[in-house]
Formats: sequence, structure tokens, C-alpha cells
Amino acid sequence: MIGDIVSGSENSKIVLIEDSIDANGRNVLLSYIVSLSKITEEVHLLLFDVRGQDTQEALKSLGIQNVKVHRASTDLLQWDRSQGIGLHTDIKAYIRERLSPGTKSVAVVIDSLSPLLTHTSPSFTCKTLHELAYSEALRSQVQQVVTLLHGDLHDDNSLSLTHHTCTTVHKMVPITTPYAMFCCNTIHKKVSGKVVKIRESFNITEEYQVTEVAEVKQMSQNLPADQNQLDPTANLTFNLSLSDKEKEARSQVILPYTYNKERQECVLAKSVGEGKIFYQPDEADDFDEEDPDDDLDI
Amino acid sequence: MFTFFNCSMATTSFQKKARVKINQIPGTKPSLFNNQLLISSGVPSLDNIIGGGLAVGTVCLIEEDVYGSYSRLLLKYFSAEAAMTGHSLLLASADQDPQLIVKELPGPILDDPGDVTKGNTPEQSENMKIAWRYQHLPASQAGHSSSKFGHYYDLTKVMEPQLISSVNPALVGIEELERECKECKDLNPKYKYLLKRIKEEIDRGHFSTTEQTDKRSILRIAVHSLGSPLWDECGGLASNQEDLDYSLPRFLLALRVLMRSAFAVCMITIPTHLFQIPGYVGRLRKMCDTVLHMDSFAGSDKEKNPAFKEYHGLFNIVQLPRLNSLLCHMPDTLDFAFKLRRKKFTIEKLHLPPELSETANRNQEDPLPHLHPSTALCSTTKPNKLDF
Repeated sequence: MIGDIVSGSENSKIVLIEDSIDANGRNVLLSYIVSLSKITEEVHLLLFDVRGQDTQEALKSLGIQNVKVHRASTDLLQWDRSQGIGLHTDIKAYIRERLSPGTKSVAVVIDSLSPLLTHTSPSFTCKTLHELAYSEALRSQVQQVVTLLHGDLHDDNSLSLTHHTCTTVHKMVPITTPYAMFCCNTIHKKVSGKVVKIRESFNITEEYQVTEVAEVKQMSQNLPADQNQLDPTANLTFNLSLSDKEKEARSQVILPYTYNKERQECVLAKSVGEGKIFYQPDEADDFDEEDPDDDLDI
Repeated sequence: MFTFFNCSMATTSFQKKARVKINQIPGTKPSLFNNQLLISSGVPSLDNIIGGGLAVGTVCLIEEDVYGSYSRLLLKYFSAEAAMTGHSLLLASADQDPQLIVKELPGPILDDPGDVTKGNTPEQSENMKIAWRYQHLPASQAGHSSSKFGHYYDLTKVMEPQLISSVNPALVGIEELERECKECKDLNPKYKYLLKRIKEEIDRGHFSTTEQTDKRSILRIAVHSLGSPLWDECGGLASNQEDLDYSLPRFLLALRVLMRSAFAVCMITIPTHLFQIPGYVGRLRKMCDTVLHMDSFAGSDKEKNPAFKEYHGLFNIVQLPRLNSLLCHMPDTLDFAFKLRRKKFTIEKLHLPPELSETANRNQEDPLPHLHPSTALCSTTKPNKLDF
């Protein structure tokens, strides 16, 4: 699944890579950037994180042309009234001004979202992501927004609100299987409405391609249902099954409520909503026309 | 032997023999229990379990499933029903462009009542040996469309644009909300704008109960994913992340006041799983009349449970309104589940298979997984390497 999303064969508008101290997600971010630089015309990379220069240097060594890097100022909250991108700048307007004319497909990558989520409210962060992906203001079409988030810096509430806004969430976990470098839990919401939840291990090459994606299956806690289904008719001291001759004899038996042409004539009337009483005397019933109260002598 | 022939299926064809009012509003019917005016929610199986339909003048809250797809489907049915009955529609959504939602409304299944009665052929009379009295009845229950209440829709078809534009739906999207909302300290500005817009729509269409008009109609208001982060809502917390923000319950109270004095019904979906403050969701529920909860199996362990393999999720009735009476309508069971076929969405009673195993192993998971202690501040329930 992660291979498909990175390569672009699976569509996803807002991708979130959540990492932690135990499992780093920057390599996955770089593989997204490399893949997007091939699919879209321009990739705009916004660096808010303190380690943003790692990403910048890795990209410089790869020599990719169409990635435009925008470093945010070190004074993110703009206490010194400095120029440059701060947390409260209108990012979509900023990018719109810096688009080369005539670009039709753009991708926006944010490294990382954590400063934004820490210093502003979660709803502001979610709105920023949503606007970048969907608003009409960016005249080119934004193909995808990819962002990195450090999960251990934030509380559950903010994280759940951010997850709600994204269409794909990759949560990096420490690797457990041998022969693989990375492992992540992916929740991907498809356009059709179906949700895929999968745990995969994969490798990333030096050119930041995602390879050898394999699903890591959990140890299933539940016993399979077949084992528990006992057959109640086994191990009995009496015989419950029927032989063929007995089955034939059973089908010959005339049941009391079956349709008998002699007894019914207009029962198949179309009355659906009414309640009609149909009286069908048994052989045992003594159907006497006389009124039994006639004997009374009052 | 006496046999009593009675038709006790899920939809009843029972119609009260009432004197037809001169101004009968199309698409509504009086409730069988308390003569309250009802409209269809768009899903006939849902109408049956909540007592015939949604009462006019009430607010219906749908607690969304985690990924929101089924609650969006319910809203689409609600909006499609507006187009079919000629009711007016106001659709508000911040997460998705309402134009897109309106373009995806399911198309109606239009079949004549006449087609259904010629259903059964003589070959089928051999199938039923004991139940031969039922063989002439139609196999499906789609034939009960004697009144124009509750339509069936085909999800593979899309509703024709002319039908939708004939009701002239008013659409409120995020751009309009961002543009028009004004600063307000008592209430979240976006909620206040939505209230203003609803009031305008009620006044413009003369839906208020105090106004006298010749052609009465109903206004259907559908709000998608209210309280999501795009409405400036942080899960019930104020901007300083410590105090609670009571805008959403206040909005719901004001909305209910508006509904009570108008011929309108409001259906809202709220992603309540995002509200982790204990008791907050309880307040939201109390502020609404009908509360329904959808719990889909997508992406959870329950998907693998063999008892649930026919269904796509659980459907709970959390609350039903007591309108002008002491009791609410009580359905015969409270366990429902929903399933989404390719063409149809239905809500059914949940039938669990019998437990035949010797070792009845109870599920070890936490029965209330979504109620964690308040994690509004930096502490989380999981051990964190950055804690000190």
C-alpha cells in the first residue's frame, strides 16, 4: 500500500507521516519528494522544523531540479517582527506568489507540521492543510500535500484532530522483522469510502525509492471460528439421521396446513391488510351445524 | 383449526383513517402513535425503527463513524428525499464542497405499484407447501409506495441535475463560512453565521409557524460534519487548550429553538469520536432530539468477527424525542446493524448466531475504548520517551 501511495498509483490528497524518536520518518518524506518531483511540475518544500536542513541537504545531493525550498525564519512566532515565513503567514498566498507561471500540477511538502501544531491551535493546523489541498485560491491544481509530524511532541487530542483531516496516515513504528529497514502502520481512506488499515515493512534505497514492501501480519488473538463450532448431533446414543427410504416416507406425510385443493377454494384472495379467519376443520373436529345453546331451558 | 392470517412485516401498510386535512403537506404523514407530523429520513428502514420518520421541528444528530463515509451517505439520502418530495434544502459542509455532495445524490428507483402485483408466476406455487397463503405476496416490500412517503434509491445511479435544481438547494461551503463569519465572543463565529443563514432561509421560504401561506412545505437542513476542526472547533476546547468551549451545545440549543417554530427538520452529523472530554458528548446529545450513532467496522478488529460478516457496522439509537408526551417511541429491540450493498443501504436488526462453543471466550478489549481520561494537556496515556 505504501509503495502505491508514494508512487502515485493510489490517490491521496493529504498524506501525514507520523514519526517518533524510535522510528524516524524523514526518509519516507524524502521518498515522497523524489516521487512527486517526477509526477508533478513543481514541488514546494516548506521547512519549519529545526532539522529541516537535513532534508534540504539530502535533496541537494540528489540534484533534483523542480523542488523549490522555502525556509521559514528562525523567528517562527515573529516576535522580532522579522521577515520570512512565520507560523501565521498565509501559506497558500505565499506559495501562489511563488509559482512559476503556467504550472498546472503542484505538490506541497511540509517539514514538519509539529511547530505549527504546538504553537497554534489544532483547528488552525487542520484548516491550513485543508486549504492547501482543496482551496480555489491556488490557481494551479495541488496534486498532493505531504507533511511530517513528530507524534511524541503532541497530545492525543491534537493528533486525532489532525488524523481526521488527512486522507493517509503513516505511523512509523520500530522495526520488528529482520531484513527490513522501516515499518509503518498505514491508514488510507480511499476516494470510494473504503478504508485500508495495514502494517508493512519496507526498504528505502539510496535514491529514496520505496522497495520490498511486505505486509507484517499480527499474531491473531482470536481462534478461528471453525475450531469452535461443535456439531451437536455427533456422539449421541440415538440415531438422528434419516435413511433415503425414511426421507421419502416423510415427504409423503400430509401435514395439516398444506394446500389441499378439496378444502380451499378462494383462499388465495389478495387480501393483504385485512385479517381474515379461515376455518379448516380437522378429521377430529366434530363440525356440528346446530347451535349447542339450543338445549338450554331457561 | 383456526388460522389467523396477518401480515406483520417490518413496514406496515396500516394507514390511519383520518379525515384528510385540506392543506396536507406533500411528503409528510401524521405519526401513527401520537399524530405528530413526520417526514421521511430518506432510508425507509431507518424510518421504521425511529417510529415512522423524523418529526417536523426537531433536530436529528448522527454521531459519525470514525471515517465518516456512512454518515455522509445518510445525509445524501436525506437530501435526495428533499428532491423527491419537493421540500426545500439547505446543505452546509466545511469538509467537502457541498456542490460535490449534491452532485453525488443517489438516483431514485421509480417503479409503478402496478408492476409488483403481477410478480408471482404459477411455477412458484410449488415452492411453498406449508406457507402457500403467502405465495401471492410480492417478494420484496417495495410495493408499499401507496403514499408518497419514503423512497428507495439506487446508489449506482446519480440523481438527475434537473431534479435537484428544481428544489433550488441553498449550499453553504467553507469559503462562504470563512468570508462571512464575524468576530463573536459568545459563540464560534462560524456557528453564528450558520444560524443566521438558517434563519434567513426560514424567513425567505415562509417556513415559520407564525406565517400563513397557501402552499406549505418543509425545509430540510443538512449539516455535514459539524464540529470538525475545519469549523474552528478543537474537540470542545477553547483556544487556550484548557478551558472548555461551549459553542457547540449553545449552537445546538439555538438551532432547536429555531426548529421548534418552523416547519423544518435538521439533520446534523458530528464526529463525536474527536471529542474526548468526558461528558461533553452527553451535553451535545441532550441538546438534540433524535440521536443515532453509527459504528462502522471498517479498519477495526470487529471486521474479522464472523458474527458481523454480513454487516458493515453497528447502528445504535442513543436517544429518541418525547414530543408532547411522557414517553418516546420504543422500538422492539435496540440492537441494529447496517449494511451497504452495491445499490442499497439498509438498517436491520442485528441477529447474532448462537454461541455453540464450549469455551465462551469473552472479548478482551476495553468496552468503552473511546473514553480516555482527559488528555487535553501534554500528558498521554502511552509512555512517552520525551516525558521527564
